[in-house]
Amino acid sequence: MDPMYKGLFFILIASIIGAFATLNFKKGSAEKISIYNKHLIKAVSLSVFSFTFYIYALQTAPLTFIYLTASISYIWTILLAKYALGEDINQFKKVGIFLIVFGIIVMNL
Amino acid sequence: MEDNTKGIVLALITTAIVSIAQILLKLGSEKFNITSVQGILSQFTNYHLIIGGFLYVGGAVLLIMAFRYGELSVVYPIMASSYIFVTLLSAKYLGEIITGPKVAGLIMIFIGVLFIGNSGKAGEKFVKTNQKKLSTKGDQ
Repeated sequence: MDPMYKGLFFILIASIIGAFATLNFKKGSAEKISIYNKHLIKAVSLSVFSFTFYIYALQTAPLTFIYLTASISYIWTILLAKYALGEDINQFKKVGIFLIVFGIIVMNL
Repeated sequence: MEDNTKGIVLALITTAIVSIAQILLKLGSEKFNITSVQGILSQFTNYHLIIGGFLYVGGAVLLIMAFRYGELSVVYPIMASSYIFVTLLSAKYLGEIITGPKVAGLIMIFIGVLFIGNSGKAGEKFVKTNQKKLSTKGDQ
């Protein structure tokens, strides 16, 4: 497989796992920070898993190029914020997310 | 309102730390190999990877604090400012070139982050939900 595609594949998996890790970090942040905080345990485990894929991705593609696929994680996270946490996604946030995701794509043209 | 501001400030500090970590991880990844015993042992002297990893973990702790004081849909997108930090750092320390599209993209990201940072001012509805959340937090 082309190293670039391999890198993209790894970062895609890393970002999916990472988005769920982020959700658990947010949930766990409202509770006391301890080794018994179930959400944080889940978040850290998912992060370690994501981190492994991330390192492999770094090995095969340039750092800035990797961010192209990582931009999808912003959409996933905003969807998780809305549907899993019930946060209000107003126009400002929508425009902001659009600019961020589009900006990341433009950056990598 | 005040609480989201605290989350935003913490998110920006986290972003700066994590960006430095990413440069170190990129440098360390060149020596990353866990397919042999010798390779695994050599990781103990892979200082870029070790320091980068520690900063990454430190960033995660700071991120939890940022999440505590701000909404996920505000704190997380603010961290997109890492693109600005990483691009500047990788130009300086990794010799990567800042092209025209990169400059254009970074400007868009910067404006996007500004939109997210000011999303709290977008209407009474948001403020009300936020105040409700603040009072619930206070009860805990």
